[in-house]
Amino acid sequence: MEEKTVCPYCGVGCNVIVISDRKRILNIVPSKREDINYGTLCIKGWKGFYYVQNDKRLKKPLKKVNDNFVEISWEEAIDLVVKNLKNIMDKYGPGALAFQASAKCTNEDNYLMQKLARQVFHTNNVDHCARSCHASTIEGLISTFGSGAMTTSIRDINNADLYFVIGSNTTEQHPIIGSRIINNVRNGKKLIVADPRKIQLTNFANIHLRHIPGTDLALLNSIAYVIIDKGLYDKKFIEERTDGFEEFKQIVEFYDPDRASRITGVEPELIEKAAVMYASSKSIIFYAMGITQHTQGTENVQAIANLAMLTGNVGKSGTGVAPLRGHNNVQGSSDMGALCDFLPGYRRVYDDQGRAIFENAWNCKISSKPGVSLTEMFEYALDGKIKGMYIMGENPVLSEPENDKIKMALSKLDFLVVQDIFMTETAEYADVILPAYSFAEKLGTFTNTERRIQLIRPFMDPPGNARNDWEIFQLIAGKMGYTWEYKNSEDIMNEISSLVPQYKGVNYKCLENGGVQWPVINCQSTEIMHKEKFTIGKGKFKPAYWEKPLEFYDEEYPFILTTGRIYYQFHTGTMTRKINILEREAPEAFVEINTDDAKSLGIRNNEVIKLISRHGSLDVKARVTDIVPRGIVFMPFHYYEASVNKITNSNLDPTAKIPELKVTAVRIERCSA
Amino acid sequence: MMFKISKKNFQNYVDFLIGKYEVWGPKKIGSDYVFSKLNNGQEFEDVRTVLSPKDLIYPPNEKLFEDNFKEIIVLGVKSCDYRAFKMLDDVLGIDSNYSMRRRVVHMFNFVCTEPCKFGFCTTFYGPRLEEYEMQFTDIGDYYLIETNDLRFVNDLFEKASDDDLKIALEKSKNVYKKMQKLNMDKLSEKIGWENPLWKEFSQRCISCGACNFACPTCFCFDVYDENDRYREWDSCILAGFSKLAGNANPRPTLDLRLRQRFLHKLKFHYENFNYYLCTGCGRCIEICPVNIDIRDVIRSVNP
Repeated sequence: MEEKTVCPYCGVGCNVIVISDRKRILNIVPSKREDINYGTLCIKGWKGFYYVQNDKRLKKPLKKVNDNFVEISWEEAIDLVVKNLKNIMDKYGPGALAFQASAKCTNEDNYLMQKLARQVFHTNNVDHCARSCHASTIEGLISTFGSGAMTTSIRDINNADLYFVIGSNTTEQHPIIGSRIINNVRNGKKLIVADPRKIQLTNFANIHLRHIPGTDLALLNSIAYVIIDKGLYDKKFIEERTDGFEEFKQIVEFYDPDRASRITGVEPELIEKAAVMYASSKSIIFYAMGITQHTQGTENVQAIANLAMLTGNVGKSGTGVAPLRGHNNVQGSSDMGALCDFLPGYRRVYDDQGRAIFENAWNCKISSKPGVSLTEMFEYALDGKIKGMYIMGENPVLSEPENDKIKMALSKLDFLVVQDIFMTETAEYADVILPAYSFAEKLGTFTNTERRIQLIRPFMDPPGNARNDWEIFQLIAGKMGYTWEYKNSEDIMNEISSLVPQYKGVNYKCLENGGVQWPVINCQSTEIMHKEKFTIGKGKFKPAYWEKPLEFYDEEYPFILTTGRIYYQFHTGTMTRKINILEREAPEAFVEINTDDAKSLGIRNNEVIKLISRHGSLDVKARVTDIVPRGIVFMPFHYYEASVNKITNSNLDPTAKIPELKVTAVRIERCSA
Repeated sequence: MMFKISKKNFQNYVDFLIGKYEVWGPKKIGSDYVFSKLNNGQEFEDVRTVLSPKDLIYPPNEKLFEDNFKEIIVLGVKSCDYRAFKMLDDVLGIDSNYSMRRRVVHMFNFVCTEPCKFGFCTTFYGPRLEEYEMQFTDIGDYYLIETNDLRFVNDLFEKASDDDLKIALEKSKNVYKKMQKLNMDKLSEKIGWENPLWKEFSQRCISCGACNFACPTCFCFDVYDENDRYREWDSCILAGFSKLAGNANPRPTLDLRLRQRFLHKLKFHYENFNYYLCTGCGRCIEICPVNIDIRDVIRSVNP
């Protein structure tokens, strides 16, 4: 049999046709649709699906008995979960519970998990990994444009004349968008890359700005300075479409290229050249974690939005701001309100009108106080304020900063439920583990980085007694006395489309031919947003002064450690590390260190070295390379054997509560010394 | 032997085959064509698919030591893809799984009468084959059928005349007329170890492996254990492909791996077997995310 579905890795949302006999995958074929993956896939698309048929898939519910897991029936599992969560709620109040949704799961799953938290367990303590990746995008773009998502579409990339890529290793993390950029640049379009590392895209860049991690805001402000100074800004656009230009002008005035150069380490001439090039072309700005994972993540995103408004590069074809979403459905799970401060459709929990809609629909009271964010949930657990946790398809033990603290927090909980497809580093701490369907067994929807709601279709039989995530929530709600009557995932989508304005009127039928991009109007896509006016009305300039990251290089910790993902692995490796060829290509952790730095420290390639931060230390193999500049080391976070998040800091962006994973001060020692 | 079958009866013929065998063929899924199991004759369309049917004889990922070979018929195979199996036979012929499937999977090739966008098959064998199981050519209201295998002959077949064959030849000549033929003159001797293209390609190659996976003649695999033993398609573009113990690697950089891929196809295989390991199907060109083109390599030697 054959089914058309969507790749479960990054946010590009490549379409594939899977041929299977429902027990095993027989072949994987990329779809030729021009607007997304034009008949291509990256290595994760070609090789990365086979984890779904891995023997290690969880097949039965498990409970922990004397530090071992024993198989139990679904009845017992649901009883246990309900009894324990309810006890905690009755004894300590709903605030003692916390729920973690998943960007790997469908919109329907995420919608129901936040509904379970809010309606059944009366708490806004529901959040997911968008908190650690694009929470600052949501805040930054909502405050400027009114909508926290890519303003344009993947297809529209071909219509731009210049690409400004900052804080995104596009060919490794969004390879098919990266390829599209390369093809366009080879056809004469221009490319500016701002990244401390010499990433593959720099092979094609007209300008490479190698700024120091954590100085993005100074760099972006300085680009704005030059554009204003040279009179290259779009006066008409600013006048007609935006507010706050004067204040913006006053603040960026501080960032002349000379001053910015002293902060960022980029030559003033390069900043000027980049500013002129960006302002004089039809441009799209792409960004990812290099912008968002900072204590000034929200301000960084706003600075990008400011640049786009300043030059009128938003709201028309070939222009825009493109946050690249790292998970297949991190856009969707955010849209679904799996966030502690937003209800579905980005209504703030303290917005009385917005809350009333859901209170009426769900016949319950919702707290107007934002819940506890993902990063803070572990602090709360350590303090004993959160006693029970329910984690779906996430592995915070590896993905969140200061791992040891996360582990301590999880051990301190009275009760932890983990719902996943494999045993994970996090599931080890669970009292009950619930086996769930993978994307291969589900009918549902993912929303990709260009806001396209796409259908995924089941092509495998579920393993053992595993269950669909949303069905598990329905069972729990039922046991708690709430009768949900969803017969299938489409019933859930019908509820979503009646309550979430962006998804208005969406049903599975209108998604059949390739999906639609929200905001959806009569089942039709909005390809380019903010065309006539911004979602917010008039666009708002949101300027800010650059502040030194809370941790920066100093005498004691002279290096900046920055983290990220690599091409062959994905996130905490729950899926990719079970794939033979992907694991073969990238089997172990490493830290990139500049050749000259290595020489002065006497470090050889492949030598195990010690990285020490204020939060801990770890041993890892050195990869001596010129990809990183002097003073900066880079490490991927996929590996439990050497988990970089043991030593990263958990300083938060005060608005978006995103941790500053991109800047940690470290020092380096030789192990043998 | 030569027969013909009217297009109307062809559907009935497919239905007849489906009654006796498992039948696979090009099938439209959304806007894409893939090889899949056909449920009835109407589903069949003679269209070039994204991938060749290599997977039906040599699966992308298979459990080893498992006797699970069923007789199937594959319709709508393009001649380039069919020809590729003859090449794979020289390398994988001694492999038990491959050779077992080769015996029980019957591939019926359909001759192209129009050139495809990226193909350059006329450089090698062209759309008509000398060796085949059943060769079908669209001659208007009929398909001409050439075969020496009487197992699949059916009452619906009619006798074909020499005029029918003439039309078939004429139709396939159309491809020769419209398709650019590349100059392969002494290519295997002339193509050098050094070529600026390797570096140039390596700047943009994203190591997806698609050129290998889409190639009907690529045969490299890797073996791994996961309770049972499995093997899967491998890609010489990946660093791990040539990684040795202690992380030594004779092809440590991407340009060297790209060179290996092209030199294997255009030099080494020729030196061993006296033919190029390429059928000109053009799939690697079409499927490459960043437009790396084997024709550029050939032209860089023989402009």
